[in-house]
Formats: sequence, structure tokens, C-alpha cells
Amino acid sequence: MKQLVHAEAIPSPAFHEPPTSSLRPFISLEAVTKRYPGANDGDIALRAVNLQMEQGGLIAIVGKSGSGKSTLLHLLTAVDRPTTGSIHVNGSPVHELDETAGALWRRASVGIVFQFFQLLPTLTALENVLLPMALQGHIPANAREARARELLARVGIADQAHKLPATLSGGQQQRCAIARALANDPPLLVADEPTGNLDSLTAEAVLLLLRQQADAGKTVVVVTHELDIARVADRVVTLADGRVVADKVRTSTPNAGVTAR
Amino acid sequence: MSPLWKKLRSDIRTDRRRLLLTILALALSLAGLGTMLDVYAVLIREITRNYRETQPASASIEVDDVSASLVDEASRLPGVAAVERRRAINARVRDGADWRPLRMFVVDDFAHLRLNTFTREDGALSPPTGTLFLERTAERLMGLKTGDTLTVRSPNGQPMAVRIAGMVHDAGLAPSEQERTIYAYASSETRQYLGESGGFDELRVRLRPEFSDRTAIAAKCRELVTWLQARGHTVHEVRIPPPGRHPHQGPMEAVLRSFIGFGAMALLLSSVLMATTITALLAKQVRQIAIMKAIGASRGQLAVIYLALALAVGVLAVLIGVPAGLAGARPFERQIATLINFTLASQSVPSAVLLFQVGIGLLLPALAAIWPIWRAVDLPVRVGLADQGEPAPAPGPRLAPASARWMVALPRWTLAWRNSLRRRLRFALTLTLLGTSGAILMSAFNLRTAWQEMIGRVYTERSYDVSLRLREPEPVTALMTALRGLPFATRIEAWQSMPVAFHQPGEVPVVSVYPDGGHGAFTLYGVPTETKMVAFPLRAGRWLRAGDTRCVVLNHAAHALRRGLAVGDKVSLIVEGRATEWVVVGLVEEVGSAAAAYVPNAEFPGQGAGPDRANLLRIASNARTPATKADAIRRIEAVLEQRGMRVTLGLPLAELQTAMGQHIAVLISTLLAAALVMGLVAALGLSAMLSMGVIERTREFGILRAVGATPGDVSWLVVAEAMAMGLIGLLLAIPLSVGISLLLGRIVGLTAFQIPLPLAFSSAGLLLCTGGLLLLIVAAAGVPARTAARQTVRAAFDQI
Repeated sequence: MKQLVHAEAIPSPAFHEPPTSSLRPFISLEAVTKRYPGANDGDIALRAVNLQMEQGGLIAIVGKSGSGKSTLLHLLTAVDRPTTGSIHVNGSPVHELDETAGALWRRASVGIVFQFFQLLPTLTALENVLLPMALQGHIPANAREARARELLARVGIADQAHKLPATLSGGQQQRCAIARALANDPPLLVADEPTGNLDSLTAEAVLLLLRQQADAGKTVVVVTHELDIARVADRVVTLADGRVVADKVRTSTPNAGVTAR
Repeated sequence: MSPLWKKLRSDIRTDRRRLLLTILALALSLAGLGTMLDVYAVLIREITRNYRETQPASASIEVDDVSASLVDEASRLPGVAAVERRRAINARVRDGADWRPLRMFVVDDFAHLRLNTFTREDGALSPPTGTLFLERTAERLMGLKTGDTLTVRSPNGQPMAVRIAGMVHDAGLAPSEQERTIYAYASSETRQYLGESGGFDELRVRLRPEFSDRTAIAAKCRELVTWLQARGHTVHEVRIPPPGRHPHQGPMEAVLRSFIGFGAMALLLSSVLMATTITALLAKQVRQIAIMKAIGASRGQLAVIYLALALAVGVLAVLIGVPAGLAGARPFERQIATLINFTLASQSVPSAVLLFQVGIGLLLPALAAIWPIWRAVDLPVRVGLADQGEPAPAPGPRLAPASARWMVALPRWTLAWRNSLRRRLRFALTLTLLGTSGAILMSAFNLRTAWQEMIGRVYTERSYDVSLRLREPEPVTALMTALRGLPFATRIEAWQSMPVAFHQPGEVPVVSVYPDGGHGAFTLYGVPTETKMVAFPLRAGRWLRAGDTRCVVLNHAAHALRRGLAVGDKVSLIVEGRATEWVVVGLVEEVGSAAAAYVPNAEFPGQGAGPDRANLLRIASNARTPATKADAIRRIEAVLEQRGMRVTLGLPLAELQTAMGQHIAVLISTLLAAALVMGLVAALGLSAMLSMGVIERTREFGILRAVGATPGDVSWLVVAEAMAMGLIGLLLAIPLSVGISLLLGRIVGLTAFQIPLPLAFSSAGLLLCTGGLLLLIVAAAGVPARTAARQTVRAAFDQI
């Protein structure tokens, strides 16, 4: 298994304002506001957020705790619905999806990577990857196991296929979670603090995996409070108090200075 | 209020649904046990009281003639409390076109009954000449009531019209519909009116209380016999029924005790459910307990809080369950009382029984909770603070590669199965609940099937379907000549029969016959050695064969009267006061009969007997329906009557089967009720288990939703887990039901037939159990499944 480590310190990347595009954006948030019921005016997590993202690339949504990034992630993945505004992902009006429609949309369109891995403890690594395929049912049954094994190999844990999550390290679990997120080959990958529970070495490896997916054409959205993610991101959107306060696109190639051992 | 108690209050509020399920399960099983205990306590008391109030005779001595002066003299003998004279006549009563047995008790003085008393229900104070009192259960058998007119024929009389002068209740007799016999009470004048001559032939004696057991009674009776013989009387037989016990008391006690066992089982299972609930509740509180210990709470202080919770659960269960048990017992008691024909003077339950139920209801939950509580409060603080609150992962670090194939082929079932196995103790408990309730339900049906098979032996072991008893032995040739040419009779055998008793040299024979003449009877049959009419299974030795001399075959009931007897032993039998010697050549099992001994017809002893005479006809006919069989009996009787041969009893074999079937109905419905209670407890237990699992796996369901499972998928997963458990529970129930069926079959069979019931499987029971289990699972999983479906995806993103 390749382990990816820093060979030398990586210089801060250079970012600039994102250019406007005439193409239909892959992700589009228009005047999205999310208000939670509460005292007085309620708790406003997002305030009239406008955001467009092209297909492909790795977008980092950064901000401190309470900035609204988790809420943004929930709205993006149809876990929650905006109070006002619209959200389109790959042409689907995500803001209109109910519980069942949201689940159906997620199984085909989104792969989610959680901070705490969230593997099902009674399933092996291989079976955790098989699960989304079983739910969606598009991949023929006789092809699923091979695909699952290929995904595990891709993330570097093919030899852990038959182990239960409790016996895997944090890094191995997160790799497995990434493989699971890729099971149905979704165009969108969303990672919620994917390195929050990992040591720095392992975190680098996981970031590289996410970077590889972006390079392969997927749209990867990483929600994090860690600014280090900027090193591998193509675009960094900063939230504060429910608003987009900064939105920068990288000018240099990511992963510069990172070598494989 | 102390913060600790406030915490307990909020914990209860948080887990109120699970606790409620546990309380309900405990209450239900307590109610089930309570019902059985209450019924047992009340019925034993009341049946004993009813029977004793009839002033049952300690013994009945059959004498040639019992005069009023003899009664007077006997009543002054030492040890004798009361004496009365009676006579029992086996007559017949018209029932439509057929005759039904009528056992008529000739009573000396209706106004001054001293022994085997009965209470008047309605009608005259005593029956005038030409009228009868009937035991009240005659209404159940034949729809008779006071004022109706019957046609009665006594053995030596002609059919006579007799009016019913009143109904009485005789608590010393089994109900008419069970014995298929009408019981009547007549004066001497009515006896003469019916054509029967002679006086009283039974001296009924009640001894003083110090003669309470059978041995003492028998010893005293021997003195009485000697006294009677000294006065020139001939004593034929002494009948000593089991002291103080109603004819059906033994079977009722045996059955009720087994039901108490089921009730106790349900309560035990509920207690284990209690332990699991407490364990699950405490699993959520591990960190809280560690925090409390970290800030100074002692283990004892914490244990008291949670024990108080267990006690509170017990209190609530008692408050619901004990009154429910009382309420359930009342109709059951009335049903049994009606079935056995006695009157409930009081349905109050002894306070000791109620206190026992309260004590058990309070104690068991607390005892069940002690170990989980101690385990939880004894956990080191460090360990408790690090607890993640998640259920333990599946056992083993690695699964076989082939397991992934199941995930491909049956992903939902694979996930459901793995989840079921995560909490092994809980899994085991749920299986035990499901398996046991299913087993009891199947056992109830198995028992019914076994009983039906046993009753079926009445037919398979007997090739005749009509039995006719003659007033006196008649020449066989005359009988055969008379019956030759009857188109429906395919085979006729001429037998002989007579009451018999085991003989002890120098002693008058003593038998344990009740006044109804049926329970406890012992009959000697003279049969053709090559008989085709009976084929009883052999327990030892062989059946009679041609050329046998002084050989006897005993059935199992007769063998029970003299257990030491073995094949090859000599035995002495008293017939009509004469001792006869035989050698036992075989022991057989005979279902549906009292004690019986079989000898070659050619050697049948008794006055008027002989190889060419018979007083019992066994007839195989080609009549297939009850109506045609009844018609066959009428035609045979008519033919014999024309030739002056009087029939005193004509019975289709089906009557025997009907009588046997009557006894089982209440038993089966009670067993089904017990199964229902167990099933409800299982449903509550399953629902509680599933609910616990759902709450513990909130985040897991969120993950499933995040990777694309719909609410329906999640809901189905919970149902699938329940079905997986249900299926295994069903597989467990089948072998369990074998054990329970064997046990019940032994209890019921030995009580009813002195033969264990065979092990029988009811496919209806299996189907009903399977269907019932599915319904139970759907009902139990409904709420937890809905709860699981409502788990939000956001739970997957939440930290602990």
C-alpha cells in the first residue's frame, strides 16, 4: 500500500476570485436561507447564500464552528431543506426533495464521507462498500463484489476486506468510508470534516484520495474548519455567520511538493 | 427532592415507553399466574366444600337386604356417625327413539337425608309415587325440566310414564353430559311403580372423623362386615370411594397445577425481560454514572436509585396484574364449576395467595435487576467516562469471505441478521420468549390432537360399534338365532360380564367405586378367546387363546388396583361373592374403560353363567351414521324383546367417544388462554427489545439514510430483524413443544386414562403458530420500525 507523506513544506497556494461561466453550474445555490425555529427571529444558519460550483474539482467550505458550513452541507445533500431559496445539483432541484425522494437522490448522486467514518459495525469493510450498491440496485448483483474489491484496492485497503470496522485503524476506516461513498459512482462527493479524527499523516493520505477523485472528474466538496485543506482544494469558500465572506479559486496546481513513497 | 431522585424521575420520563412495555409484560404474566393460582385456590376449596356438604358416605356395603332396624342398629355401632339405606337401579329413559342410561337412586326418606345428600333446586319437597327427581345436569344432556314426563323402563319393568317432580343438585356426581347418563332419585313406591321388587341393598355408612384415610375406613368396614355376617346377612361387596374427593377432583387438580407451571414460566420470562430493560437503560447511563461517581456518589447510593426504579416497576405491575388476575379467575372458576357441576359459595381468594402474588410481583423485578445494576455502578470511573454509548460490535474480528456473498444476494436480510446477533443476551431472551409462547400454543393443539388420537383408539382397538347388555344371561344359540338375518349386523359376539373385585383371603372384597357406579368400577368379561371385537395393545404377556384354562388378562386400570401383579402371577377374583382363582397371562392397555379383566367365556364364573350363555352382545354393523346405528340398536332390541330377552343397556360406541371428548374442552381452551398470555408477553418483550435496539442505533440509521436508504428501507430493516428472530423463535418452539407436549400428555393422560397421551403433532397448531407469530412480529415491530424510519440523516453527522 502506498503511503503518501510530505517530502517538504508546501508553499501556500495562490487563489483568486472565481471567473463567471456561461455553462450551467453543477451546483447552484440561489438566495438560500436556513432558519431554525427558536426565540425571537429564530436561529438563522444561512443568510441568502448564493454559490455556484462547476463540475469537477475539489471545493473546500471552510469556517469556524457556527459559521453555517454544516448546514450548507446538509442542504447540499438533501438532508435538510432551505427555508427559502433554491438548490440545484446536477440539474436536480434538491430543495424540493422530501425524505424518500432525498434518499433516492442521494443513493445515485452523492457519496458522503463523515468525520467519524460511520461504517456499519456489523458489516465487514467489503460489505460496507456493497451496501450502497445493494440499496440502489443499478449495478448488477454479479458485478458488485468485484467492484467493491476494486474500490477497496483503489483506496489501499484491499487486504482488509473481510475485517469488521472495530478492528480497522482510523485511517483504514476512513478509506473504507471513501470507498463506500464511491460505490455507486456518484458525480458528487461530500466530505464532512474527513480528517477531523485522524492524525496528520493519515489525514494527508485521505486528502490525497479525495484529491484523486477530483482529478478523476468528480465534484468533491469538503466541509472543514481546518485551513490546511486549501493545499489540495481548487476553490475555497469561506463562511462566517451564515454568509459567504470569501470565495477564492486556486491559481497554482494542488499537491505540489507531495510525493509518494 | 434530592437531585439523584430527580434524575431518576427524568430517566423514567425519558424511557417511559420501554418501561411501560416492561411493566405491561410483567403485569400480564403476573395476571396469568395470578389467575391460575386464584382458580386453583378457589376451586379446590369449593369442590371440597361442595363434596363434603353432601355428607358423602365413607363406604357403601352391598348387602342382601337392609331393613330399617338394621340401619338403626348400625348407626349405634362404635365409630359410626351416620347410616342410611339406598338402592341403585340401572334403568333406561327414552331419548327420542332411543334409550339412554338412567341410574336411579332409591331413597329411603327424602325429608331426612343423612348421607350423599342433594339439595332441591325446584319442585316438590319429595317426589310422589310415579315421579322422580332428576339431577339438574339432566337439562344439559336431554333438555329436561321439572314437569316434563319421561318414559322410564327399569330392568324388570315395562316402559312407564314418569313425571319429573323436581330438579336437585347432587355435588357428589359427575355431570350427566359427561357420563352420558341421567341420574334420578325415586321413592320406594316409585320403584315398585316401575316394576322393581325387593328392598334396599346398600348400607351407606359415614364413619367418625378419626377414620379419615382409606386404610382406616377399610379396617372399620371389615368390622362392619363381620357384624353383618354375624346377623346372617350376605355381604357382596364393600365400596370405599377415595375419601373426601369428588370423582373429578384428581384430574382437575393435575391440570390446574400444570397451568400454574405455565404461569410461573411466563412470570420468569418477564423478569428476565425486566433485567434486560434495566441493562439497556443503564447502558445509556454508563457515562452519567461515571460522572456521578467522579463527583462523589457511592455505588450504594447509585444502586439504591436504580433498585427503586425496579421496585417501582414491580409495584405498578402488581397494581395492574393482581387485580387483573382476580378478574380473569372469576369467569374461569364459574366455567369449571359449571363443568363439574358444583356451586361456588364464594369466589374470595385466600389472602395468603394474594400476598404471595404481591410478593412475587415485587421481588422478582428487583431480583432480576440486582446484577445489571451492580455491574453498572461498579464500572471504574475511567471506563465509564470513555464509554461511547454504542452497542458492542459483532463478535469476532473477521468474517468468512463467503459472508460477503450473502450481502450481495440478500443485503437487507444479512444486515438484519447481523444486527440481531449484536446483543446476544437480548437475542437469547427474545428467542426464549418467542419460542416458549409458540411452544405452548403448539402444545395446546398437539394435546388436542393427542386426545383425539387417544379417543380414536376407542374405535381402532374395538371392532364393534354397538354394545347391548341383557338383564340376565341368555342362551347363546337363542341369541344368535334371534339375530341371524339382520342385514346390518356383520358380526355378533356373545360375551358375559359381571362386577368383580380382587380377593383377599378371609376378607370381603373392597372396591373404590363411587355412587354413580362408573368411577372406580371393576368388571370381569368372559370373551371368546378368538374374539375379533377387541385388539388391545399388549403391555406384557399375551391375549387369551384357545385352550386356555383359568387364564386372565388384566387391563391397565385393573393392574393399577394391584400394581405388584405380573404375568405368571396367580390372582383371586371375587364374583358374586365367590372367590375364583386365575393366572395372569397378559396385561393390556385399554382406552376408555374402567378396570377390566378378561377370561375365556367358557370359564366365566357367576350364577347363570356358562360357556353357552351371554349377557353382553358386541355387534359390528355396517351402519355408518349415528342415526343408522341408533336404528340398528332399536331393531336388535325389538327382535330380542319379541323373544323375551330384555335389554337393559344399548350403547353405540360413539357415546363413549362423546363422553371422553367432553372432558377435554375446558382443558384445551385454558391452555390456549395460557398460550395467548405467553404470546402477549412475547410481543411486549419483542417490542421492548426492538425499541431498545432502535434507540441505541440512532446514528446507524442515520448512516443508512445518508447512503441512500429510504425511510421505508430502514423501517423494513427493523421488521426484518424481528422476522429473523421470529423465524428462529419458531424453529425453537418446535422442539420445545415436543417436550411440553410430552409433559402435558403425561399429566393429562395419566390422570384421565392412566395412560400417557401419545406424542402427536398438529399441523393446524403449527400453521396457527406461524401465522400468529407473524402477526405478533408485525405488531411488535410496528412502533420501533416507525421510530427507526423517522431517524434523521443528521444523526449520522452528529458527534456523540
